[in-house]
Amino acid sequence: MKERVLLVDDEVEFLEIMAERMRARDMEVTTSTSASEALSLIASESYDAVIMDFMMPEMDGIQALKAIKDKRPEMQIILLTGHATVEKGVEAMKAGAMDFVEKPADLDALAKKIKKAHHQKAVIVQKQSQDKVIEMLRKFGM
Amino acid sequence: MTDDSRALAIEGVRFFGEMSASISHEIKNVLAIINENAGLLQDMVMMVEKGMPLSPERLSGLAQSIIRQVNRGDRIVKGMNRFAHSADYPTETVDIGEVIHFISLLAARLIAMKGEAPQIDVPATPVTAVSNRFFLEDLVWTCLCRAMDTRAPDQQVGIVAEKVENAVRIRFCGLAGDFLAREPGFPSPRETMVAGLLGIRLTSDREKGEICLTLP
Repeated sequence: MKERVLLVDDEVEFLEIMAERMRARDMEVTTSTSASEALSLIASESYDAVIMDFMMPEMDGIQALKAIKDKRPEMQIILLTGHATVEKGVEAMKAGAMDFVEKPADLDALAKKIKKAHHQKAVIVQKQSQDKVIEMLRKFGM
Repeated sequence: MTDDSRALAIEGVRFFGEMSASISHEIKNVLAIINENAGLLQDMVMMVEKGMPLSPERLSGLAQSIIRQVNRGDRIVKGMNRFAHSADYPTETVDIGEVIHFISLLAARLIAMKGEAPQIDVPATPVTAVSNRFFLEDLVWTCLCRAMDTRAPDQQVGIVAEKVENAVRIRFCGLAGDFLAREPGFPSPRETMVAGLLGIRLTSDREKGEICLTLP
């Protein structure tokens, strides 16, 4: 099954080329140039991984990350940044990021993280389904 | 070193650091795009090795993208160099409109993160003043940040440079009328210190929703 990725960055050329390279690696990629557009997309679509720039106009990466996690906790978020400091990394992880990658990124290394995101999301979705079943069984006194 | 000069030195380094961090982020974005172009070229080479045809148009597109990014990187580095030379002289004759345009360009990413770019209105004939270029850039940036952080809803921040009697005035317009109530720390000790060093009067007009810098 193809990994579904939402790529968010305000640098259009970066988005286009990276998306092309990801598609060549058999991923299904949607692109977005803003956090607000990404938030609309995640409301109706499901992605294994959201790869997002840390510094974007309107809403920064941490704000966007919290908003996405609030709506879709199962989605795995990888933040891209120009300068990966320990402080930023800790802040991102505390906010629920799966990983934190410095630009320029190695796409093959990133592809491995996306596969991991696909797996982690599947585990969370399965757990959510099991919890629903348990909840229903409890309702019926079983 | 007196307390004042120590505080000023710290402020100078802080401002230089803030701008340098923004510039380096921009350079990283340029490098990231060139890196993706190089990666795509490598992907294409692998495809050719597997017997797939290579499109000259696609290669030309990638070359053009690299050239665009090299030119963009060059502009960023030139801006960085110009900024580094801002501190060359204690005082010099400064074109106020040029300073406003330069700071808006240098901090374009930081401005984009705060919202819409300011509307700049400077007269065709240069308005000049004798000042310290580096700390004037610092003060213009500080006031622009204040203006963008406290702008009135649906208002675009404007920066106006104008000659008034024996002085030069820079107005930051479009602030919410209640900005002073929302910003009790205005002007901050840092803003007061830099304005004091430059002999600039830093005032605000609540009714007009403006911050004014009046240079002698």
